[in-house]
Parts: sequence; C-alpha cells; structure tokens
Amino acid sequence: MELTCLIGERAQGSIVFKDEVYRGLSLAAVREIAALCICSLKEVEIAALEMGVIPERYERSLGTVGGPAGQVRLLRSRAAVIGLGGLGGLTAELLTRMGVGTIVLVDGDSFNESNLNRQVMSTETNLGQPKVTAATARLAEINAAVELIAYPSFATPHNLEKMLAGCHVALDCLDSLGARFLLQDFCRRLQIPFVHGAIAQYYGQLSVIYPGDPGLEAVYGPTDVERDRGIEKELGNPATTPALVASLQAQEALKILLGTGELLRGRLLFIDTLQGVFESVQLEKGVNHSGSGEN
Amino acid sequence: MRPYNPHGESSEPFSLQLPVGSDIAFLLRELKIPRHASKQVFVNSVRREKDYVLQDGERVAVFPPIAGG
Repeated sequence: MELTCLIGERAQGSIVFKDEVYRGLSLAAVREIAALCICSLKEVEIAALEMGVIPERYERSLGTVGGPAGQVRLLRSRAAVIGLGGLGGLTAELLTRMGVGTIVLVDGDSFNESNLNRQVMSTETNLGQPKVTAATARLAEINAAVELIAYPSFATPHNLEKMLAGCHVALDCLDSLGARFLLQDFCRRLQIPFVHGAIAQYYGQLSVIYPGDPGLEAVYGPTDVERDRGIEKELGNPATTPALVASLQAQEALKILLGTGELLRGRLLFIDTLQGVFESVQLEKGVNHSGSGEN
Repeated sequence: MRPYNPHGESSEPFSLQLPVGSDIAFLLRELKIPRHASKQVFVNSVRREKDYVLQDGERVAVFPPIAGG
C-alpha cells in the first residue's frame, strides 16, 4: 500500500496550530508504516508532515520551528557535533529531540569516572565505552528517526572533510584550542557555519561563526599564539555551565537550520554564572549580521 | 580575574588612573595579570589587541581564556 494512503488511514486526533487543525500520527503508527513500506522512520515523518499530518512527537515543537514546514526542514538537515563531552553530549541530545534528520557524532575518547559529574551521555554502566557508542545508543532510544553517523575518532586534518561533508551546521564542542582552530579551518573551506561553545568552571562563552566572519582568532587572539587548553584544567568543570552553553549552542544551530532569529554572529556571549552576568561583546567593530536566509 | 582586582577579590567594576598613552599591555602589567590569563580584552565591548591605546573613560573587560568542552 502506498505511503500516503497508510498515513491518511492511521492519522488520528486533532492538533491545532495557528488556527489550523492537523491530524496526528503516533510513534507506533510511524513504525508500522515504515515496516509496511520498507522505508525509514524519517521518510514516513516527512511524508506525513508534507500532507499536514503531525508526528505526535513533534507536536510541542511546532510553535518554535515554524510549523510543519519547519519540522520538515529540520528532518532534512544535517548537523555535525564535534566533541561529545559536557557540551557535545547534551547538544546532540537536544538536536535529536528536535528531530534534526542527520547528526554526525565525532569523538575518539571513552567515558571515565571523572565525566560523570557533567557529561549527560556517561553513566555508571557505560564507563570505558567509546563516547560515540554510548551516545549513539542513547540517541537512538530518544528518536530512532534521526540518522546517526558515528566516528569514534578525534577530528584531524585527514578526516574532518569527510565528517563535515553535506553538513548545514557544525557544533564546536571541543576541548582544545588546536582542535577548535582546525575545525574552523575546515568549516571555512567547506563554507559551513559553526557554533562555537566553550566552558571553564563558572564561565561559558559562545558565538556563531560563518565563513568570512571574525572567527576564533577574534576570540582567542591570532592563530600564531600559543594554543593551550585555557583555564578549565585548573579550575574544573561543574554540571551546570556545560548544560547552559550546550543548550544555547543547540538553539543557535536550530536558528541557522531554520533561518530564523538573530544569530550570535560577530558577537561573543560571555556568561559568568557565579555573578549571574551575561555579557555580549562585539568581536569586530561594525560586524553585525542578521540570521536569515544564509542556510 | 577576581584575584587581580586591586580592591580585593571581586569582579565589581573599579576605576583606575593611568598615564596618558597607556595601552592594554601596560594596564595588564599594572594589575599583575599574567599573559596567559588574559587572552580576551574588550574595550567598550569591542575586542582589542594588547597595543590598543586606552582613552579616558573607556570601560575595559578582561576575560580568562576558556576552551573546555
């Protein structure tokens, strides 16, 4: 039986969005239709949304993604999360829950006990496991419609081009300056915007960097300066600041994918959670881009 | 940056008198902030390099380098 017919048959209930009434599609129905039509869950969800049937799992997202069309746009998007520690683990989870259709996961590290205080993908039972393996398992349980492409390796000049191929956005969730600058080099070369995020102790920062924007050199200084790890090694990282910055990074990525809102371009948002201060500073005078239409 | 506040450990803003023509590098030396601890200096919310000459009344913010993930 044809995909659209099955969706029409299984659609039920009513979901009201902007004065329009839509029918809903349960997770069980999406699974059943995918099995019957031998297609992916994502294909069923996209087909449903395009005929005005809302997979119930996205019902509460409609208002912030721009309705069914915005959800289709997210499902057709591809994002790379580079680094799956405190920032990347949560960022990947948030993008998965929102239904970003393809997520590339990159980390060569495995979980250890010192990760448990803040890295949401780490649990007492998966210590020693590669971070991408643990993350892939958890994310597949959250949203099986999302295609996950896992690289259990660190980002290098030899593998980054392949990892970033076809991505609409990259998330810099790394923990060293050298790797961050490397990611920026490849994003510029491949014309991919990226969302920079970093944390240390009570502090966090993020910025959206498009090719041609003032980039990490405007944040950390010229590229020829010593690229050390920053202050976080001596200061430590709690549970709270990575969650805060990861959440804001995910929101910027969603805005990029959807072409909505005012992006944090040409600006660095610096957060001091001890003092309760959010400070937005310009990275280069006169640079102030709006967020629309460059996806 | 709190330990470098001359008025005691605090991140409250404070005023400082500097000789005319002082640059950011001079200010950081005055406050005894080590080179590695002050990668990001913003003057009136715009990032400036260490040789930027400060003007009367400008607001300087010094952030620690942050690179954890």
